[in-house]
Amino acid sequence: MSHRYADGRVALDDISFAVEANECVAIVGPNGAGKTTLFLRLCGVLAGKPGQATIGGLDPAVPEHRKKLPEVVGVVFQNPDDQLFSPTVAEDVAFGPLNMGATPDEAKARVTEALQAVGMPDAGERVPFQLSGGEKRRAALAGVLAMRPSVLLLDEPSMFLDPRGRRELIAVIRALPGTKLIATHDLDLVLDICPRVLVLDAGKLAADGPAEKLLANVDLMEKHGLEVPFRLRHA
Amino acid sequence: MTLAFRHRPVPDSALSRWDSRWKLAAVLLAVGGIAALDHLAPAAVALALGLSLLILARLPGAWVRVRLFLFALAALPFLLVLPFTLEGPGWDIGPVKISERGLIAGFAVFCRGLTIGCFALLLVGTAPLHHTLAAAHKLRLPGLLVQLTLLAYRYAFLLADEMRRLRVAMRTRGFRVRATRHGYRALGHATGALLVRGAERADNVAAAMRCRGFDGKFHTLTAFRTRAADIISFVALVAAAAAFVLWDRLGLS
Repeated sequence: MSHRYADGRVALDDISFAVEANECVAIVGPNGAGKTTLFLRLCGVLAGKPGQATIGGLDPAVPEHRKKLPEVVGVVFQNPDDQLFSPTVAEDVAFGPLNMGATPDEAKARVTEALQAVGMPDAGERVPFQLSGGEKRRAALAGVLAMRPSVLLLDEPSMFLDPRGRRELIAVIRALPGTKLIATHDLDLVLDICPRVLVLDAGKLAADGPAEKLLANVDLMEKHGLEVPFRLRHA
Repeated sequence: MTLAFRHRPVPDSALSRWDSRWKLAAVLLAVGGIAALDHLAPAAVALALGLSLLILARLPGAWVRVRLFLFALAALPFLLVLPFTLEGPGWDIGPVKISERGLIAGFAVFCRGLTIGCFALLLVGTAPLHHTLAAAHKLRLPGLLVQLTLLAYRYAFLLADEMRRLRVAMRTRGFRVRATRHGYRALGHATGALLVRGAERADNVAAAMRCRGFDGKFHTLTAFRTRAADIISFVALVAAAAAFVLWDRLGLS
């Protein structure tokens, strides 16, 4: 897959990888590496050439496939305030299922199920803006889970979270079924959750392999603007 | 985090239990009728009705007072200008002539403005905004308009918070609002930054909505159920408004 923005900047440069069903893969790299662009291409928000990617059997660049993508691919964006746009948490979580044609009763059942999955069973009537950072992140995740996607794309899930919020989120992500792609700078989170890592830098795929092995490689980490996680440095 | 705005819980009352669709329809019709009143007496009685409904709604006094004061301020120019601009018999106070007709017309406009304010507060205060907007959608307001209003309401809080953070950042670097070239430039830059961030956020929100299958239609979990009391309340309020209009037009004073 390649992607060039209208201003000529190349965000993805001929990258190629495959992810098996139920695999959990981290995508790491410095700022501007192309992680978010990759996600936006995979979920069909950014247009591209057909035939470059398939996800759950759908090509995000094909308009007919793109309509079905929200049922297959769920994206949790970097900033939960971009994702929590409804007046209450319950309305927000129900947004996707209602768009997919669920009846209000079905949507309510999905809301209950999704909020339960992220450990916020009583948050339905709360106002998104008044949630804490960790709660916002989990509410945004619930909004995606309510659509029951088979593939989850999580963009910087632990960003701006305090240690407790981060721990709670890691526990929630770990318990989620399905295929997970996690773009992050938080390499300790990667070690906790993802057995496999893709290193992306300047739009190119620099490495693909087991997390413990790649993240312990000092030369590789430094070359791509990353650091060996504290835990591996002192192992 | 301290927020510039806070969502206020809706106090339980007969008016908060009134089905939002019937309430919205009744209030809109009543406001239409009140706006058409010309005479002071029906306008003053309508204001008494509006204030009584606010009391029945059990809304917090301070919340109501502040907002009604703003409505009063908006209507005040009519009260201040009409007595001096309309012709007819009146009183001469030095070089100034006050017209009796103008004074009465000014008070009538003032009462109408305040009454409409009472009804607006009734709508806003006795149901969460998204219920009222969902009701408006049921009454055929286009879904896209409802969605846009909800988004504007939701992100007003966020923009206000961003503005507050910008102001703090400016103050920590010694900025104080002054009528100087530097002051205007700095405020212009801050406003520009806020607009750019707003535009960027709008793009991100649109992407998040598309990822969850948004197709331009408005959907909601809010369920409505009509009870006999809803219809009776609707008929009562609309009948009251119609009575005011009849009184006003037929001059039954």
